[in-house]
Amino acid sequence: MNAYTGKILYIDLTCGSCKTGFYDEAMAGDYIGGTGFGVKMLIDHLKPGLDAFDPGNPLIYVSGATTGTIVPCTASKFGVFAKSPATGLLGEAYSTGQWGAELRAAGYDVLVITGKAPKPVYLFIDDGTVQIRSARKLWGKSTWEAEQAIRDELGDQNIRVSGIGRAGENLNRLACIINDRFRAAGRTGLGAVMGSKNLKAVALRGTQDVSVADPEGLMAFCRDLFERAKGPATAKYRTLGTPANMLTMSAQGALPTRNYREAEFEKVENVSGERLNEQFITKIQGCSACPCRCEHIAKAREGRFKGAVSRMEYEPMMAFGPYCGVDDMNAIIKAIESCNIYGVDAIGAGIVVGFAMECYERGLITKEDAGGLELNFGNGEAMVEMVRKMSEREDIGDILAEGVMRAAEKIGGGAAHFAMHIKGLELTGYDIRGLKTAALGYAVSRRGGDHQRHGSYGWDLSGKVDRFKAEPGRGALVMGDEDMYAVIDSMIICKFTRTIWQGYEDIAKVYSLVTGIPMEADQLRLCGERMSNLARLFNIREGMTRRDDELLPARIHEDPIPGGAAKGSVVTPEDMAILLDGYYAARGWDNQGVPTDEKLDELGLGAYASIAEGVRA
Amino acid sequence: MTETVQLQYFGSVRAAACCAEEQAPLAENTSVLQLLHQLADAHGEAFRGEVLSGEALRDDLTASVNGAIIQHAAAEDIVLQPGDTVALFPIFPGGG
Ligand code: SF4
Repeated sequence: MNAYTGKILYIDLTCGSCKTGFYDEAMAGDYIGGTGFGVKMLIDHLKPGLDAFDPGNPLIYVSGATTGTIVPCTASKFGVFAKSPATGLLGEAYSTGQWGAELRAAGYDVLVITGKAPKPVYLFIDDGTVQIRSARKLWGKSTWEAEQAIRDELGDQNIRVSGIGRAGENLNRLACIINDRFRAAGRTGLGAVMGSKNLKAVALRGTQDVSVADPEGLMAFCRDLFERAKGPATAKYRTLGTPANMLTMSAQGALPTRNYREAEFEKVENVSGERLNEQFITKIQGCSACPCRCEHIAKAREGRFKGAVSRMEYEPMMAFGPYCGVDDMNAIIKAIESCNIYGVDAIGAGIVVGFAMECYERGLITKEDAGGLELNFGNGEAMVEMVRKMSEREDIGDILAEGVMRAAEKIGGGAAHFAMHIKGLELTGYDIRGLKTAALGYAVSRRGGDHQRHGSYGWDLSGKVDRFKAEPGRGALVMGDEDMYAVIDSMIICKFTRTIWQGYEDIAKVYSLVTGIPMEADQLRLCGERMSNLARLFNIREGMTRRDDELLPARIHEDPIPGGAAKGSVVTPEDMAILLDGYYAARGWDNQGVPTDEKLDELGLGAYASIAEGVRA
Repeated sequence: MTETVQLQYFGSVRAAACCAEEQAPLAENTSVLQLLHQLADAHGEAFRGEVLSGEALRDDLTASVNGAIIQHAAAEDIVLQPGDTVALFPIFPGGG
């Protein structure tokens, strides 16, 4: 095969054994890479019903179809999969930087890590050879310290490291996996799965070439893609970047503020992308082989957090800014830096701190619980300290490290009403009360409360639909987005550059040029649908039902947005019934959200039909 | 007296316009789409690229009139009134 190595590295940490497996062209053509490989490997390798922290839960790294090639904005991507300790469902996260390209150059497309090492270890994969090395001296170190220590120990400063910090070691259900200092496989708690295996990091060194099927054809097409990637379609990512969303979302009444109490922030100018660029950005850099170069690196300028450095995107800025009522950019930069260092999902962590602030203001958490912190909305110093406490599981941080769903159960006193999660995963930066298509996208997202599996807020915010209205037709829109995103996450294309691709046609063309496997647009769309259905079956097998799709946080159903452009908006249970019925119908599923036998046959998933049969009434 | 509309720009649209807000003259029966063409003529190609794709609104642009997001398909049918506030926002597909 071209591009693909065709190799899967299986590592059992309990007994310290490794073996190489192989996959064939049929698997490549049906599942592409990234999402497709991750979901397929997970459903095939996880014993149903196992706890996420059971050694049998496989931690799976996957590269994309075009990882390691010259295809712009795809070269460095990788995905991580496992059963999620946050949701108990599909755990899935993607990262970029340099690590993904190194994995393929080291000789593998997929790593399947099972078992639990008796003592802390890290893996070193060096051009096809594998070492399981002691991490005794690394345990307890931050992600940045561990990366440097591994490079020093191995005597090579170019080694790429993907690893966990204290949050992962402490089984914080929001723990992520960090690579290249600022890049995270962020969501669904996969860092905690890594920690549960006593695995500190996976280090890589690879020098192998990646072959492509049609180098000249690919070069010609990539020239065009590079020009598009440098052009107007991506200009806004290079200039202000996604933090430009701060002002936009606030003006639209869609900016989650103070734990979803409001949807606009009165001090938003202080935390705007414009303010960030004028005063805090020190450099703009890019991932491997990306002409777009969108990474905005900021440095705190003054006060207690002076010198803190982090990459800035809208989502973590929202979470540690308006969501916590904080308008001090220095504190926001420090909080995001802390997330990188401790290895915790910067979106989820901000949502958890915002939740804790509301608990504090309602008297459900005391100053004593908080270890002496005054955890009011707007207190940036307390917010930063709480990230550390959650990572170290200190004081109330021990409960908050479980995520808002579990923390609300333990705290009680009605906290569940304002615990902003779906299926156990904290919500992200779009107030879905006034974005009905997005509300459906979030509700059915295969990894829980999340915008990155569908991007369906785009329909609402671009005015292509009435954002305040629930209609059955939104189901087909969300389905189309999900299947396209599944393909994008399989190639793996950076979503910031998705507008340079003219639909499935362009992606299919690149796929064929790279791999030599013939692929048409329609086939590729079907691959996306196959992945969405297989992910659904995985979640059904782990116990998910229609009820889980219906249940949004009580605040979304019952507390209208109090002011601004979306004033009065809620998502009622009736809205949800309309949206879900429309979605299930568009998908060809029954009214409980279970894929039909016909649909599974159509997608070549007949081998998994017993999962659906087992839950059908 | 010349009638006007109030304009608010966000993100990359603001950068291309070189201002956050301004007033623009409004001729009778001007639609939202016509206004955007008028503004593009005044501000130049960088601004045009931010708000228009050919003759139509750019796909990843939000336009609102008096706080309400307008549907793209209706941009040529919605006639502006003197004193209306039109806001233009880029959307970021791909989250972040
Ligand atoms: S657009 Fe940004 S995040 Fe995406 S590949 Fe390029 S530099 Fe990396």
